[in-house]
Amino acid sequence: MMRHTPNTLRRRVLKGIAGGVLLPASAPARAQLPQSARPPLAELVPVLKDITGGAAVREGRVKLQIPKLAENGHLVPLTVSVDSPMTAADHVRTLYLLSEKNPRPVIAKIGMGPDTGRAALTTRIRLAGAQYVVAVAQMSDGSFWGTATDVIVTETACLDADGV
Amino acid sequence: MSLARILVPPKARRGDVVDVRIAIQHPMETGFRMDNNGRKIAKNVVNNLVCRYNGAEVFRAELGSGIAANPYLQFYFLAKDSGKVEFEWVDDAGEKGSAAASIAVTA
Amino acid sequence: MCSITILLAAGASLVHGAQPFRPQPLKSGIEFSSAEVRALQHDDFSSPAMLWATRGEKLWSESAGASGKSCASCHQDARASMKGVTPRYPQIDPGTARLVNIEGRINQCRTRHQQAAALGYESDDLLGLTAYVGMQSRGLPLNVVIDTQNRRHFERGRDMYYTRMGQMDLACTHCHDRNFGRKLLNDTISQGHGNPYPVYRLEWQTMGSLHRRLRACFFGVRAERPAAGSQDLLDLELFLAWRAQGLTVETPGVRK
Repeated sequence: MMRHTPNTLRRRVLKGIAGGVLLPASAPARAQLPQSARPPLAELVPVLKDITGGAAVREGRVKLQIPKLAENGHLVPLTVSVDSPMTAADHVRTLYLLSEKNPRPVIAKIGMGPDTGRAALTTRIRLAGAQYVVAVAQMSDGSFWGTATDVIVTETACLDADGV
Repeated sequence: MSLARILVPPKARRGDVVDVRIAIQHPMETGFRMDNNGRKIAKNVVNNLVCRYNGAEVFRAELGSGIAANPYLQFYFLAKDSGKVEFEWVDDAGEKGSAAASIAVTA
Repeated sequence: MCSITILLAAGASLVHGAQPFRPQPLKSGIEFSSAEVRALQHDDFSSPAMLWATRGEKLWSESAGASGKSCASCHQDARASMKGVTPRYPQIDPGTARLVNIEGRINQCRTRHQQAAALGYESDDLLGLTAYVGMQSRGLPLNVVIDTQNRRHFERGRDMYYTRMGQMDLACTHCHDRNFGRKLLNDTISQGHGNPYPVYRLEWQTMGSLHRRLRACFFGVRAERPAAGSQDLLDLELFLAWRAQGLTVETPGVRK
């Protein structure tokens, strides 16, 4: 029986979103999955379709560095980078940062090119609860590459009533 | 007063990949929050940020409410010639901001 | 039930009579913070709090009010003149014989010397100036001195610190002396020191004063919240400053 390490999970997530088609999980495999890995990212399927026009998103080349456990969803530091020479012939054209559960799934759309020198961005995002964060890059040859990482987001105990 | 901080190295060698950073003071209002009187606070985020190096665009970001308050971005560009690095941004209310720094590039 | 009440009352009076307890070793809240929060506070560019310090730096040399004076007109370069100031506050203002903190002192300067309107307690401008002034003392130990002038305020602040209040019936001491280092949901309880304030708090998504943070504590125990800048919070601030003597200023800090 297949064991679901984080890596195979991630692969399943990407398979799920590739081409906007959810691949059904086999029954025994599903029985082993934690609740957070339900046949994933259904919310993102239409968004992905808009971005890729139905083309497949291959796993790899894109790397997301984000804390496994974010202690506050208001500010989650993140670095996304793409393995690309960033030359005129071969570079990242567009980089998307997507969230599975935020009310607006597209966090950022980044335009870059050979003059950018390095396909990487460090920023801080908001996450409305524990979820997958997905990064998808469109290369200069039109191909799509991506990765997905699940992040646990906790709430604070010490609330503030002064509000905005 | 719109306030931003930028970090651009004062000098670089031609062909270096240069690291630039920008932080903008902005609430990045999501449009989902209420004020203390229960009235909805209108969405207002910095929705677009462009970085130009000697006039040529090297980086563009379309941002949404999923970017944390007081947006911070660190990215890169390829050093070619001495000149100006300019940042320009605009929010949903149409308020524009800009910042610039110069960089000296040696061979 | 009755005997428990008596025991607690006895415990409380013991605390009042003796030298108040100070956690040993003293630990800044940053030591209870996550790697992400520490990284934000320790990098002067990526720290969001520095946006406010930068605002304060600009305001320092901008003229304000009918006098046309700026802070710099009297105090020149803050990097020299403001070094070591924050650790001595709150202190008694000789003119009014009242206890003032840095925020109060800045507003006194505005109304007395600049003939400008006082700044709102949680305004970006006052937070900015407070952060900028405080930043000049980064790394210096807090060193308020309790003397005959401020003792009354110190004792009021101390009593408030040890008084149970609110629906939760908790005093400051129950979290910050007896249970620091332990968890409240996913938060690690700190010793409750004011040395990084004003701070950028992730929960607030903005900068806030020590008094805003203290009000959040009052809210946490479901007690009535004293107003920011009120005598109650100033007195408590003085006691906290005494309690944190020796910890170094981290202004402008970052907290969860």
